[in-house]
Amino acid sequence: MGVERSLTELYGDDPERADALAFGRRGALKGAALAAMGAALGSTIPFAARMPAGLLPAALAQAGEVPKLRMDGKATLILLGERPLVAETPEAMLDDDVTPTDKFFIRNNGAIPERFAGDPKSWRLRIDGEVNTPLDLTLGELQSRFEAVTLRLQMECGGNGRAAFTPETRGNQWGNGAISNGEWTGVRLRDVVRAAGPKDTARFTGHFGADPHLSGDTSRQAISRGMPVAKAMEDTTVLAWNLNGEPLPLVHGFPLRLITPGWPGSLSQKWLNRITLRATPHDGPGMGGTSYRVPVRPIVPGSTNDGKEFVDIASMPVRGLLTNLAHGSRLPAGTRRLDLRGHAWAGDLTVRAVHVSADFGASWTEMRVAEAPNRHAWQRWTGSLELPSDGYFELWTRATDSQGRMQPHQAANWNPQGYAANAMARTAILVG
Amino acid sequence: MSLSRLEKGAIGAVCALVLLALAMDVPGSRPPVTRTAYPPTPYAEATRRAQEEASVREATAKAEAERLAAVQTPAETEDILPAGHGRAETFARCTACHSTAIIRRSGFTQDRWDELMDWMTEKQGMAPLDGADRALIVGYLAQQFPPRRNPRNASPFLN
Repeated sequence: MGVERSLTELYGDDPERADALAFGRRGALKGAALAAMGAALGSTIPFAARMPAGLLPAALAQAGEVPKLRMDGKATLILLGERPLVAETPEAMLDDDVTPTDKFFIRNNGAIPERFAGDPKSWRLRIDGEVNTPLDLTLGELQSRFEAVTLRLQMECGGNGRAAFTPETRGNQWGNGAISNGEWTGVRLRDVVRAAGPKDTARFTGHFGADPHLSGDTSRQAISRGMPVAKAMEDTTVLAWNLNGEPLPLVHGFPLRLITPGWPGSLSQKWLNRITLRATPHDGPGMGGTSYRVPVRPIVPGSTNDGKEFVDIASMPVRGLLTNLAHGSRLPAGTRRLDLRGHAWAGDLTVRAVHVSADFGASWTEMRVAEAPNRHAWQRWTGSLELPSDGYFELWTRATDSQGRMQPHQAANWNPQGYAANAMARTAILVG
Repeated sequence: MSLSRLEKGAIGAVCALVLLALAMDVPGSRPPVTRTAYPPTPYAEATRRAQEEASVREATAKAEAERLAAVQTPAETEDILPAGHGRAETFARCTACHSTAIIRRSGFTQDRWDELMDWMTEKQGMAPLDGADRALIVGYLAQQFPPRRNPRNASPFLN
């Protein structure tokens, strides 16, 4: 595999030279370089003529060893960081309609608190601020006073897809796997807020959890975000104590967390112990500046910006994943028909269409998209695709939301902390 | 048959002793009776069970916290970072709060690394990093972890 190493290293050391070697002036792979890249991949590239210049083949982009999470009760996720503990789900591990608990991605801003050792039913949640009757409820009271609901809800990190930004931004370099679609049981936040009697001035929420700040400073919160009260009053925003029929695992917020589907996952506060209602937007860590905020007027990628003119991310953008073929799959020679499936979702919206291309976007094949079982659950897509020959292919998956917006080829609306990137997924496969 | 007064008196004394013995429950005065302990009251039973559950929960929580601490504390030493001037200072300073994974996956220009120091102070509660230490650490990071993306994609609007 000497050729693969040299080409990969060349890209790592001197991308400009590698690019100049590999791509012709008109943007197509040419002659010896094409042969070299084919050799590096161990195959020919049937659609090389349509391969855009500057795009390193997806199979080469994943060179190097990927660190793995080793943890009780969790699958071998991609380890992005130990402290804070952050782990991503490989796309091919997201094939289930309901994401199994062990396959949930992990995102922490602080340390994981020690498990609440009291009776879980005695965990307390306060609702205060701009309300007529502040509440101090135990989990037991929450469970007995309000109607319980069980819903499939997508939860996605606001930084999902960040690694696609050029130039790279601050933060965990997520691929597309910071997404989950669990079956959550809890009560609607709306019912609890109504029981507290919100005043007219209750326009925003602020959320608080028990996770300690990484520095160990007990006067600081790891993260404390909030949202407009309209999102809090949606019937899919829940205070959840069960995930997939079992009490929440500690790392996912035991014994109580907020689930705010379709919006950045940081609004789904773990180890939840207080929600305050406010007349003004919340000002905790993770609010303001460039945190979970994106430009309204696009800025120059890589430029400095204080985020004052940015807006908080509300609904996450549309995204689709191919889940039954892993990136780097090798298929038997002669394989011509691919049966494909995956999921797609679009924040507060729904997904209207999913298309897959095997020729770098020159042609697209439409897939079938099923309805979501309930609002804010992801949607299953299925379909098939014909290949013209053996060789190296990239399957590009592109979802379109209910308002007609498609996933772009590249991460758009660059912002310093790299939020809301939804470039289409690229899955490299090798036939033969 | 009639008993003398003396005999009557003697029988009376024996009966009194037997009654006394019975009343005092002197051992050996009657066959031993094995009496089962009174069953605990429902309240006592509930308390015992709650205590048992609490101690199991506590032990479980402790053990879990230890396992998680292990996951969150990688066995990192300075040489996980590439050799260079300022490596020791960078390792010591950064790992006070977070592991090196996020450093090793980042790539920025000197200016962006420099800004990141202020951002961590303002937003993440890091103690301010100034003077020679800052220059040393930022210099090391910029040298070892520069932007790695295709320079063809560099913006014509930036220097």
